[in-house]
Amino acid sequence: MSPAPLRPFALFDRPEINLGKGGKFAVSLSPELAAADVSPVIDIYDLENLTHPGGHLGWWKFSSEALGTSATGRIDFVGGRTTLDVDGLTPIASWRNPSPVRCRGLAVSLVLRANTTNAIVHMDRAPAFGTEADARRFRADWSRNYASPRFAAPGYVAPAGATVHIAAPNIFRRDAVGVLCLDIFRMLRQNGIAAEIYADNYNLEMNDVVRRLDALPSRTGPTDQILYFASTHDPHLDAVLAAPCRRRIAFFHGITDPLLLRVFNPELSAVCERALVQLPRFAEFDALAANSRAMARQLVTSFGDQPKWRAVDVAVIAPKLIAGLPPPPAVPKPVARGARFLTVGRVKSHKKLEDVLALFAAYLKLDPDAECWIVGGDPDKPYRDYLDWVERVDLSLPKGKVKWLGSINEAELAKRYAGASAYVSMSEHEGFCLPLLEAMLQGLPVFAYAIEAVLETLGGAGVSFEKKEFPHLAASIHARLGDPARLAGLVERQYAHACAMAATMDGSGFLELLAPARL
Amino acid sequence: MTGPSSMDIGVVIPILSKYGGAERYLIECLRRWQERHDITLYSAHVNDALLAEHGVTDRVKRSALTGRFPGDHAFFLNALLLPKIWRSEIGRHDIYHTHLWPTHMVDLHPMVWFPHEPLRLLHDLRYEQNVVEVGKQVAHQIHVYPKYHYDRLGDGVFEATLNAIDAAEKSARPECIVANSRYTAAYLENVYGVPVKDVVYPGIEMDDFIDLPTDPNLFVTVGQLWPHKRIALLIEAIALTDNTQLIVIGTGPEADRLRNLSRVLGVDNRVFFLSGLTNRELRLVLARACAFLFAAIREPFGIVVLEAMAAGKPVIAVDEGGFVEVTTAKSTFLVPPFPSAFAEKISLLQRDPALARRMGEAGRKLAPAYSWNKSASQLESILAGTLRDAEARRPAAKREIARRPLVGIQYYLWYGDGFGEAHWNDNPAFGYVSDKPLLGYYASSRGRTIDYHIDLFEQMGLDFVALNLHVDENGPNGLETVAIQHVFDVARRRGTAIRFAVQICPYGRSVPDAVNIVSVLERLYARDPLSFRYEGKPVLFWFWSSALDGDKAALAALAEAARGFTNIALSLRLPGGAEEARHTFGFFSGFAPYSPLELAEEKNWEHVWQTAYAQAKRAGMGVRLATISPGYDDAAMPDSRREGNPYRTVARRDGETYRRGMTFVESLEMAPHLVMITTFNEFHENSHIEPTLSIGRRYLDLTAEFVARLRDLHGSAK
Repeated sequence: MSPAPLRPFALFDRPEINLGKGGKFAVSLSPELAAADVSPVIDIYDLENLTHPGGHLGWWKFSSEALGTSATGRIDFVGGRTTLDVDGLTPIASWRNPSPVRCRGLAVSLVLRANTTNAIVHMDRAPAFGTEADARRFRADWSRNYASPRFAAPGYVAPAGATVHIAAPNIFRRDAVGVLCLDIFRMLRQNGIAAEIYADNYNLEMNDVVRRLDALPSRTGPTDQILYFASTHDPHLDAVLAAPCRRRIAFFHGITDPLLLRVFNPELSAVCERALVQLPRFAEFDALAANSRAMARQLVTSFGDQPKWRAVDVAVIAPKLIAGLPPPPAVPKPVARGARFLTVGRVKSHKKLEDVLALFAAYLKLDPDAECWIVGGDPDKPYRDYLDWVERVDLSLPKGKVKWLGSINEAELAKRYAGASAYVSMSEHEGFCLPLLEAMLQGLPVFAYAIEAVLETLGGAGVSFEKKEFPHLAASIHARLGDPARLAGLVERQYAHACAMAATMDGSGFLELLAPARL
Repeated sequence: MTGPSSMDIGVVIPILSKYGGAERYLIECLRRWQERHDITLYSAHVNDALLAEHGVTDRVKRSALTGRFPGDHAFFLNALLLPKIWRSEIGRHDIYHTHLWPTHMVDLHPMVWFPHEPLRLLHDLRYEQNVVEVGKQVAHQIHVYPKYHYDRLGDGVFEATLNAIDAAEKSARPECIVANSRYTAAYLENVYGVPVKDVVYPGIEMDDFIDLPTDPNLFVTVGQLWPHKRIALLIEAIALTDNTQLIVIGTGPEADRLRNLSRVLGVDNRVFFLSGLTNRELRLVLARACAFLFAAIREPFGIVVLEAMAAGKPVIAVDEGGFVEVTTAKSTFLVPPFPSAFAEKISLLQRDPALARRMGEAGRKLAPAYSWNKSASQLESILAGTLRDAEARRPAAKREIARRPLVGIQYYLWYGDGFGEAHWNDNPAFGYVSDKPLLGYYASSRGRTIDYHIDLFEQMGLDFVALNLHVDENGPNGLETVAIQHVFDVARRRGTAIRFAVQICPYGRSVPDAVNIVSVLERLYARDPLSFRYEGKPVLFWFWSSALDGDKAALAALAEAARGFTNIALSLRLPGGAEEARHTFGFFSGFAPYSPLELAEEKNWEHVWQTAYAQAKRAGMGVRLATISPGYDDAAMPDSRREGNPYRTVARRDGETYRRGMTFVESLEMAPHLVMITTFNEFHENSHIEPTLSIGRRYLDLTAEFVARLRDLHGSAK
């Protein structure tokens, strides 16, 4: 099968624009742009309000025919209004907000739009600041000190001049895939191994670390390795597979069943559908790994009768790097009243938080003082609206009994693990489910709906159930939490299993994947 | 308030597997009718889980119809042949309620047909089909609701096929056609040339909806993905707007084409196709939508529009179809079928959430006027009224309790087509026929044969005819089975006053077989107006060999299966008087010797006949039955089972033997309710009275005189 033609792209040459020093910028344009029926547009928003028209300062559209493979220009931002100049070019259309937009920083997008349909074909974005302080504040949340925390050290010396290119469609700091990519990047850097990291979508504040995936094929060499993380559809997969390198390794996180997402996030559901169609392409990689045996089976099953891969050929590596184990938890106290349910994860419909609420509603009948703590961000608004309706109207839960804690930092999360009585998972898709591991390490009894990967992570510890019979489940949990001996036994088994698992998660699994012995 | 009195309703629908517009209508009605009426649902495919999900219980009996024909000529066969096959598979009911096209062509009456739409392919969608090139042929991809895939019809036969179907389907004349909107009523009147006065709108469940914050960018449509639903128009409209999303809920053969359209228009990241949603998922999607879009070509009703209104959604729809009658300008933008017109209103509502909210609230206020309770009740009244009218038009049936005895005859339908065929000397042991009927060696199943025989029955003044159906280890006799159907059909066309009952002749002890046959007979004939009824029920005669005497379990199974009948035995033995209960456990309401001349010496006939008559009465049987016969002679047949019979030859004596039986009947102090003549045409036993070369019309005339004397003696039945 011949690969699809490469998509045109256009990238900012530098990760940010300094408005205080003239607002200069430079862009590089891919050769494919000349033949593509697209027009470049520069679109500028308030960095903290990317909505139209309230945060929209304006857009400027240019003819691609007038562009070569590079261009330079300037942005001027005064009094809530911007002006834009591109050297040697006049916009063919533009719009400027008649109202001033007061803000501390700009999000400057370089967009390629299809001429016929106006659809977005490609987009790069760079922040623009008036002061250095604003820029530093913007990037402060992710440490660029690569020495800490300290992960595994490799038992080999990387070939001179060889680079590991870490790539994923999405890298976000609070997403499990993103954290893993960034930690591996940190581990390689702290061991002196040349590494670069690429994504199509990422936190804009990390665009000084993360490069756009479009740039990958032009930056790899014949001695390099590509470590690719797959969890969704990727239009760049052809380019990744075509990029010159010594070896391509794919790490598969699993694809969520589109049916679980379609009601509240049909867009993501459609992406997952496309991702499933794309899975057989992974047979073209040189090495495969997955976050669980269950996901390894999902991947290999998609290959049909490809003799090249069997599930046992896929390395299974837990999808997190752990720099040190927490101390053993105290012996848990029985909880007859005032139990605290905890669940952690993104507020997405496959997590089935409505089932957590239904279970909690049943539990409240046994323990009126109980509370339910739900930790997690990145909500699909429609799903969050629905959960609100379930809580208020459908289940009529007393106000304040359910605490929606949103996305919280690690210290706050550790407090919640420590303060909770039980970890509950109703999720109907997981590739690994890191919160289960965290809960077990923190000494929190786990009650989880029995899907394949969850059972694998629990490894026989924890309590799993196959039917969501809420009153029965609530009674069972209530009995378990109130029984000191059973509770202690459960927590002890969980901790032992979690420690054994965490001991392997120092990053050595990934280093082994990259090791010359495997070349 | 009480509803219409109980009806035995035969409901027919081609497929009932999804909760679509027409199917939903039926399911909601069944749910509400099932406790009041005896309903049998006929369909080629029923999704039992779907019915259970929507509260339709096992009280609604299910009966499978033949499935659709596949292959090249599927459309033609399914349009014309299939309903006629269904006709033979559907039992007899007080009234038939048929849903969708072409169930009206089962031609069972009285019928209330709810087509929901005519075969639009013949009319307004005639040139709305996809035309594809297949090899060297150009073909139309045609769709007949509720199918999920296309049939293909070559261009060369397209017009001819449609015209043939168009002409044929108009021959069916349901007593009543119901429409789901005034618009559809006018359409149906135009097509069928008959008034369509009854309009029953569909309903909705107001409590089914979820109130969520709406997304001003999200628009929804619901519908199967066929060309006439014009989903493509909506996708184009979305492409003309900014930041909008469209969720298309539905599936169908246009899915790939529409997905591709979304892609080339650059909106495949804004148009999403969902199918197989649960009810709750559907409600959730609708709840969060800004507005509901609907662009179908002249939709007969468009129940989804009503549901969207009930969900508090403003509607942007084409200004055509049945749903227009239930909308107002406060709730709905009715626009021409142009993408730009839709796009303009989409953008308007996207920008103005307050307007969207006001329109949604207006729709929600309108919707409660349409409930399923109301729809089901209206349709039920129409069924009852149609049944009442049909009964008023029906010729007065003979009164079941007559003042004079009713006279019937044993009729055999096992004769094949010509000498040497079945029962025409095909087997010397049981098929030897020495006499020659005047009609020749006729075929029992032929319409002309049957018509001739009914004519003779009428000439004799008979009241009923027992149609013998032999059942052995191979099941019911196929020739007789077909011929019995023909008897009913010919009699119906003839308009005869004679009534018909089947006499089961079970050979062997297979009770399950007998039970099965009884259920088939009940389905096919019990409710037929031509069925002979007594004691308020159709009569089922049993040729009772006594093989099952004393088998309580077997008799219980038969009694359960035949509880809808008045069961009468014609036996080789006498009834057992007070002891009969130990033999047949009250199964029979009447009991008499089948062949009265084989019971005793000639000098003892009257004594034996009197004994049999009295024993049946002592057994508590309410139906007094006597049998008479013109003579008997099976001596020519080399059958070892017959050789022990001392009365194998009973001479006719030029009618004297026959007259002795008649005299006995006429002399009875307690007149019989029924008199059975054994036989009309059992030639191999020479008990026949049918005109033949040897006996001519002699016995026909004797019978006619006998019936006339009974009439004089006991008065007319009327």
